[in-house]
Amino acid sequence: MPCDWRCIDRVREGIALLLGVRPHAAELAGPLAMVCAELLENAVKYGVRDAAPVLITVREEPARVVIDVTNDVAPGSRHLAALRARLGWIAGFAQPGDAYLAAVEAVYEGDDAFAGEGGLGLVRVAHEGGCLIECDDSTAGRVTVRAVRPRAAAERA
Amino acid sequence: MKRLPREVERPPMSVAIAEGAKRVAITGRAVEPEVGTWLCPLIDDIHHAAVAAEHDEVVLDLRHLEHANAALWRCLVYWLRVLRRDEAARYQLRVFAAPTHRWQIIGMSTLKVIGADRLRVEEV
Repeated sequence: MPCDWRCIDRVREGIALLLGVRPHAAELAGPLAMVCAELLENAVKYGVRDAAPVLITVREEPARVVIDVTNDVAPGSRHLAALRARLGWIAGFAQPGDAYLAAVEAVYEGDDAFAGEGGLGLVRVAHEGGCLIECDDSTAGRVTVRAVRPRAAAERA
Repeated sequence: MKRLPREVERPPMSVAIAEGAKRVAITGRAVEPEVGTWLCPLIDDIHHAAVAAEHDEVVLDLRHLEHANAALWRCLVYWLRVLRRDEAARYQLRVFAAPTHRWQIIGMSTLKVIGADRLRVEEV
């Protein structure tokens, strides 16, 4: 996908349509399309403009759905540090719903340390999307954010 | 006080305001990265109109909002902050959410904690 904000909604809609017709995946279509949109928004917002396209893959496995979003990042990017910090912050909560509430409370109080860093979007991915999130920046200049949605037995193909 | 617009079109999203700020409907898809730059000032205007008119309720209809990014959620949290911190405000924000849009139900359950007695959510 080009690193262009205007493309995100079309990709989101396409993913919702594709998952919506997959056996056992229809229930996941809306939440996972939201997950894709939030991850793509972060990639476009904090990635390198006019760089390589943003890559997105959605992979169905028997016990989970895996979404990878990869984009270029500037060396020493502060956004990358903020991403790691946010993921660590989310992981510190027993339940993603607790992280979501804490994030919304921070926005309410106006003291959101992650304001403007995609913070609320990532918490939505964890809570609303039901995903585990991790990031891989082992390749210089590239970062992949992975969201993994475990599938309940009834959702498995 | 500012005159409220009847409708603000920001494709693919629009905001309709009716009955002197008694009814607000957000429809379409909220995908703008910086939606707060124009929506928060509009929320301020709606809030001030509702307070001036001494409304006891403002309906926010989200049933035809198909998708919302985190930036829009921030605006809804902003509305609750404005409402709860204004001692002159008497109104309750009554949100119509669509049960078919699961994200609305999940998101609203958290907003209810923030909004307390100033927020009522109905799945219709």
